[in-house]
Amino acid sequence: MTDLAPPPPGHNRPPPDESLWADFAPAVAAFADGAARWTAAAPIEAEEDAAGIADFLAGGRKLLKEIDAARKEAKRPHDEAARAVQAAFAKPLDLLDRAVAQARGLLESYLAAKQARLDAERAEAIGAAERAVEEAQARLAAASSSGHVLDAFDAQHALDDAEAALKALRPEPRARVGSATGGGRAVALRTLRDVRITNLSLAFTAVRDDPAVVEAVTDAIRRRVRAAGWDGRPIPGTEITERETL
Amino acid sequence: MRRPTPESDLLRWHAAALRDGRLPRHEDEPQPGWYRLRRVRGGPWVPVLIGCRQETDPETGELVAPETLYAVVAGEEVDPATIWTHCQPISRAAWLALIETCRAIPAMAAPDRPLDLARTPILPRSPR
Repeated sequence: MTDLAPPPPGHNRPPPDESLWADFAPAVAAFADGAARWTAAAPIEAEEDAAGIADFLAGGRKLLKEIDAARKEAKRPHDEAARAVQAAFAKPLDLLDRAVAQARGLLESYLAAKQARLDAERAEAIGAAERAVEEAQARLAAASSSGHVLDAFDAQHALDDAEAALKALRPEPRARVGSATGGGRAVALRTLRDVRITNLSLAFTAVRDDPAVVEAVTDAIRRRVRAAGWDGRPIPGTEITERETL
Repeated sequence: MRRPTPESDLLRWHAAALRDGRLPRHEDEPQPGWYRLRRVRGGPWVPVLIGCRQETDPETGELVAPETLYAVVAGEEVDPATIWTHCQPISRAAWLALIETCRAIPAMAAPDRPLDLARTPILPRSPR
C-alpha cells in the first residue's frame, strides 16, 4: 500500500540532539540569564561590579571549555568511524588513482602525437589552399583581362571555392579520441595554465586588488606585528591600530 | 610594667607588606592585620583578621597579661599560627568589602569547597 501523503518537513534533516548536552542545560540557562542581568546593570562603574563581571566571564569561559570538551568527546566515535571508513577505502582509491594516472599518461602521449600530426596536416593544407587561392586569383585576373566571360565566370567560382576551402581550415582541430564501445565519452586534451613567479614585485602589482591578495597580505602583516619580537617599527603602507581587550 | 604595643607598631609589617608584595615573612611569626585566604584550592576568598589581645589595667593602662595574637577567619576564632602562611595581606577597606561580598554572593558561603564559577555564575549585586 502506498502512502501518498508527503513526508513531514525535516524528515531527512532531524533537529539537533539536545540530549547530548542536557547535563549542561541548567548552567547554560543560568549564564544566558546572567548575561541579560549584567547587560541590564550596565554601565559597569563600581570596582566590585567589575570584579563580579570578571568572575562571570571566568565562569562563562570555563563552562564554554567544558561544553566544547564534551562536544569533542561526543564527536570522537564518529571521527574514529569516519577515519576507519577513510582507511578502508584508501587502498582501492589509491590503486584506482594509480591505474587511472597510468592510463591517462598513455592517452595523453597518444593525443599529443595526434595533435602534432593534425597541426602539421593543417599547416600543409592551409599552404595548399593559399596557393589555390593565389592561382584562382591569377586565373580570374587573366580571364578578366582577356574578356572571356565564361572563363571569368569559371575562374570566379574557382576562387570562391578556394577561399571557402581556406576559411574552412582556419579553426584549429583538437585531437580527440572516441569511446571504443560507446559506453564512454570522447576525450580530448585541454590546455591547463600554470604560473611561476619570475618577478614578485611586478606579479604582485598585477593582482594587488584581488581580495584574496589583500587578505593574505593583511594576515601576514598582522602576524608580524603580533609576534613577540616585533620591534615596533612602522610597516610602509599600513596603519597599525591598538585596542584593549580581555 | 609594660605598655601595650602601639597599633602602628603592631601593623608595621602589614603596612610594609601592602607596599611590597614580596616582603619576606617568618613562618612562625604571624603579624596583626587584615588578610584573605582560601581554605581549599580553588575555593572562595575568606576574610581574616589577625589581632592582638591586650589586657590592660583600666587605671594604669599597663598590660596585666602577655599580649596574645588571635585570628578570626570567617567569623570563627582560630590559632593564627595555623593559617598564617596562607594569609594574603589586604587593606582594611578591601577586608570590609570582602566581608560584604561574602554576604552578597551565595556561592561564597561554602569556603571549604572549590568555587565552580561555571556552575554558579556571578550576578550583579545591586538591582538597577
